[in-house]
Amino acid sequence: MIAIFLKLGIYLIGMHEVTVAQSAVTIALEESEKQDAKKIALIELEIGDLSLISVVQLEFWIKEFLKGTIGEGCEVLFSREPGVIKCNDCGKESNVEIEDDPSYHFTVPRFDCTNCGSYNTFILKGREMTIKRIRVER
Amino acid sequence: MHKVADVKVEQDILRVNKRIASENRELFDKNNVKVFNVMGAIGSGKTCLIERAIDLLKGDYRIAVLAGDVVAKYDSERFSAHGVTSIPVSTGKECHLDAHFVEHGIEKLDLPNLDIVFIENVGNLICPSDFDLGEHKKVVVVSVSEGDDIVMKHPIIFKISDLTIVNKFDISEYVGASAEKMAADSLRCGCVRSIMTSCKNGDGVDEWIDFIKGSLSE
Repeated sequence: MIAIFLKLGIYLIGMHEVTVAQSAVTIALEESEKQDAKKIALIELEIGDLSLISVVQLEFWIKEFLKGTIGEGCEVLFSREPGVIKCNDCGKESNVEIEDDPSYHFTVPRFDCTNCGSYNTFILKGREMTIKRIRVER
Repeated sequence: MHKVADVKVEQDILRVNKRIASENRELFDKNNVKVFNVMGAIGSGKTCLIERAIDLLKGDYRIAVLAGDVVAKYDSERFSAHGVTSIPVSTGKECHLDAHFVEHGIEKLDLPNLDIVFIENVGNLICPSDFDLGEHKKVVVVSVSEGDDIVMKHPIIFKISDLTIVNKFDISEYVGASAEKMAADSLRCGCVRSIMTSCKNGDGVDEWIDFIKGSLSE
């Protein structure tokens, strides 16, 4: 286990995907140890649409951190958690619409209430990042 | 033959950060200290706005700063020159502060003898959004020289902030940007309040001070 943390320590560098990948790998390895696993075959993560994580970068760093561990070469699966807002004025919950604006080269989430149009809303879901499950070989 | 098993984990990847952030917040609350996480791009005017606030508030309140930056000593020295305690929190190559950096910064503060702590985050409109530090209020600073479409490019950080400060509005015409559009865009993204300031000549800074004072009585 110490070797694992030493390996992770080497990569204490830039980009917040690195931080998130470190945490994800730590959780997966802790869980696999509890399971007496010989190998991790798969890690599944759920990433909220409103988190600011690049899934491509995250996958790269998770695989990098898993090298030399029982998770080396495992499959990394991602699922999305859609954003949900709730309106402070009318109480309506709605999915966050992603507005594809061609004048920008990316998608912009809309936070106005789909019922009354108010901008006085708060984010209920979509900012979380979760390890859903791992598949282990014993 | 290997035995294969699917194991349900259901763990928040940022659980450690969230736990430490909650502990930080409890510690601040126990000592009656209000904490402002000041975020914004490089060069938007975060340091200058905090300096202004220190000068206008230090007569009535006990203030300290956690100066976060990749190399923090320069900003920290600026704050110290205004007569307050400033702790440099160097992140090295990290692009944001996290709750753990702040936890170690707090260790060096005399919390029982403070009313306000400003945390200056690393210059960045993306990564700081995902990390709770244990603050009470999030403030995001943008300057007109970043272009007046900057707010709509980064809606999340404005959505989660309690105040948007559109800084350097006095030079709008020279950089061809509309400060009014930026302020309106931040409200459209769901930020609670937006103000326009010129840190250089002091215009609008009174509204920044009003926000801080209002937060203290919440």
